[in-house]
Amino acid sequence: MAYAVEMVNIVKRYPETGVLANNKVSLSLPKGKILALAGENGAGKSTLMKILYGLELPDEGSIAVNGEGVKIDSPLVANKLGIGMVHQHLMLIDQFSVSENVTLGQEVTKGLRLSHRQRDAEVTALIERHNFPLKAEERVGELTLGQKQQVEILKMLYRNVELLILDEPTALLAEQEVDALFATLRELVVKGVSIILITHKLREIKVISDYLTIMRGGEVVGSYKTAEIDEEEISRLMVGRTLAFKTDKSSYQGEREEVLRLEGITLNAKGAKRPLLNNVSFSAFRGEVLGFAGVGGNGLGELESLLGGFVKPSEGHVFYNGEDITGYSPRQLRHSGLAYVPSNRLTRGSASQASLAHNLIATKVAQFTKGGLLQRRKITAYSNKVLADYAIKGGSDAAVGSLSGGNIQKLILAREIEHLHDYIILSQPTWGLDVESSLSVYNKMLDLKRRGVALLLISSNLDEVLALSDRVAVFYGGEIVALLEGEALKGATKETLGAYMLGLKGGGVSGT
Amino acid sequence: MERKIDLPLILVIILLALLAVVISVFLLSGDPLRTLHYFFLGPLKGRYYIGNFLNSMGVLIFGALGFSIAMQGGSFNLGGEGQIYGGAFVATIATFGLARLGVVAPPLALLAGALFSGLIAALSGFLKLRWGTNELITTFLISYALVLVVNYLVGGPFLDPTTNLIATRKIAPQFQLAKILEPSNLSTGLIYALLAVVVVNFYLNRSRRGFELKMVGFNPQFALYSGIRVGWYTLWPMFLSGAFYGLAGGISIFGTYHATVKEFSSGMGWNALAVALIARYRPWAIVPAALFFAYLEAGSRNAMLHSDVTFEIISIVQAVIFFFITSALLKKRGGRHG
Repeated sequence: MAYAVEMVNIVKRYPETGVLANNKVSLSLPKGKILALAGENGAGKSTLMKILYGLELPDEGSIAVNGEGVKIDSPLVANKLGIGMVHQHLMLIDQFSVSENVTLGQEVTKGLRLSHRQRDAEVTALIERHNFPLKAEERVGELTLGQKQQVEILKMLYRNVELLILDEPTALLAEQEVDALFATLRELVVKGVSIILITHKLREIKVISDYLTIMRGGEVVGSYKTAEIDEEEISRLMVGRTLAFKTDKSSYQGEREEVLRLEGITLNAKGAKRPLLNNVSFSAFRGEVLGFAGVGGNGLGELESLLGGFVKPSEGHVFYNGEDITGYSPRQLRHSGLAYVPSNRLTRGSASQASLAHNLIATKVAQFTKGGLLQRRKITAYSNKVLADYAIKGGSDAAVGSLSGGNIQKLILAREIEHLHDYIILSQPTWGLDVESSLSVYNKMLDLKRRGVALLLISSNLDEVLALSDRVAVFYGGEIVALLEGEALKGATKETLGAYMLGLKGGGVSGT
Repeated sequence: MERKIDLPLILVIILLALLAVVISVFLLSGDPLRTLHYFFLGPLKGRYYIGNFLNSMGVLIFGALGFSIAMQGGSFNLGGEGQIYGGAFVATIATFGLARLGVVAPPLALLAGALFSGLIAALSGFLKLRWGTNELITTFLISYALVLVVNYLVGGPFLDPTTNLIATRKIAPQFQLAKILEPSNLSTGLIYALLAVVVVNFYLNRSRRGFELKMVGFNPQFALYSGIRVGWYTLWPMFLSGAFYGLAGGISIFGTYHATVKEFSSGMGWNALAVALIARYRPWAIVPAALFFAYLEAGSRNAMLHSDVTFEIISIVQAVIFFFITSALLKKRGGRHG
């Protein structure tokens, strides 16, 4: 069998932390097939792929591409070998257009000049060939996350990659977008591209991959043909034991009190014809999970920013326990009781150069100050306790940037839950988390709910929204097109939500 | 938790800088061995030279603290040249009016200079806050203009006609800092500089304000989200930065020059910036970095006096340091992705 790539006995140790990220890891992928690389957070998947893409150098081991031994010491070398990677955190220039991003580094020139027209034409052709809902001239900053990811894939296609690495590509996509992505991947495989998909979503592994390599604790625990292994076995191998997936919607016993209310919130964008949020009203109650579903670009991102105080509404009011808090800054909201887990954990949710301890206290540094001075012993004690309570791997003095994505999310969750007063906004709380960590987040959420906290859950993971929410508001075009609760919600499936999310079904707002 | 000191890297850069000295001396000097002898050993030959060499450290420390504080808060202050010169001038003028106040007069005059330069730098912070102008550009441009304005004032309205220098009147003896190592220029200014290092380090690492300032520097979006007053920390580090530059100027006058001489501080701002870069903006590291840079500076001056090279040799060394440090920093930043 001809292999697109073979990695043999790869060893990678990080001397700063002493972490053995890859311990004699081997992996191989036949040409024109899809390999799923599965494992928990910190299992070493990303490190292995960074080595393959030339972002990290292995301490030991060898790599062969198309049967030939190679040394990949930079992404440029990887590109020359036909290897392309789409990162979990997208690497695009927001100010540039789609076609500018796609051709970046491979600019289309006519003599010495850049040829914009030819560039746009080439990229448009590429977009049409793969049926992406994009325009070559659009500015990337105005795209949804799903679309941005498509731009990343286009970038790779433009470079004629033969081996495409995707790092958790479905993490932020809506159900329908995932289907579209998979269709694209299948089409690429037909054209001879080999694909490695980093993921820990069991269903996706089954649906899309031909082969499966499972990692745990920096080692490979097994490589399989996907057809020959079932989901339970995969999950057992990933976490080392079988996990229950069901979460019970346990209830809160107290009174149904309103905590947060939005009234007729409208958000106009400069130069846009349609408002980003249009006359949005809802209430969040104590001991209740209010779920929000919507395809990217339909207002959920704006809702998140509005609730966090980053944008101010053009019209309408926000009430917190009866008090008008419309237009409060993040600082004022923090004082009045906001706890908020943002979807963008690196740019908004943490300071990667600062220590874990300092990230944990940044929202309430006043509590750790005496006479204007930081109480360092108190900070360390608090941080050590929180890190232990939430099973976060890392020392109080370590930089947040040295943690894995999953651990960073756990840290943010821990900080916000500790900060919590009576409501919390969770946006994509389990994005990039493995099964076990997600489950612990769900349990935390249900625990908060029992304690009478109002939870607002914005998530593109519809399984999660359906499993946890007591009510679900579906957004389409900046409006709430459906508010499902009670029996209607019980009967709802992902397909039902999907129909509302795509604007196929409207109305049905029961109002609150 | 913070930018870690990368000792081997710094050593490599120092070696490269020294290598640049040796190479340029061989290229530029008719008697390279004699030049090198004076370059490397000149600064250490006796009290006078050692004192002068250590004296220039003080100004470098104040200036480097100025640049570093802004950097720690996520802002650039490239206005060191003008802010040192302007601060020196204002402190000088202030002594003329304050002489009657006795013991409190010297610190008040220094503070006046610091306040002036602080406000000049904060103006750039304000422009950034209000209109999003890039402080890197505005600090530089304002500083450039400020140098010309002070040149005019020193050479015109405040010119002391009794000397042949283009300079202001001398400050009164009560303002002059005590000498430590006569006959050299070394004054208590160096001690104040070392005290300033302790204070700034304490402020950045122990105080709540310092914590917030650094958070804004690390990630302003995160700081905003956490409820830190990001707007205030666009102004405040710039003000502090300018104030330290202003102190650098004032201390130079009170300790060494005793009058604002036209363009006496030319190049000090950039040298201080080089020191801050070597130290990666950490207060403690500024002390050895300033020592190193002051030594090179004194070496160039000695080589120039006793041999046939020009003072520009220090500019070559500075350029080498800028080049390697910035490229090392950029590489680090690029490598963190993925």
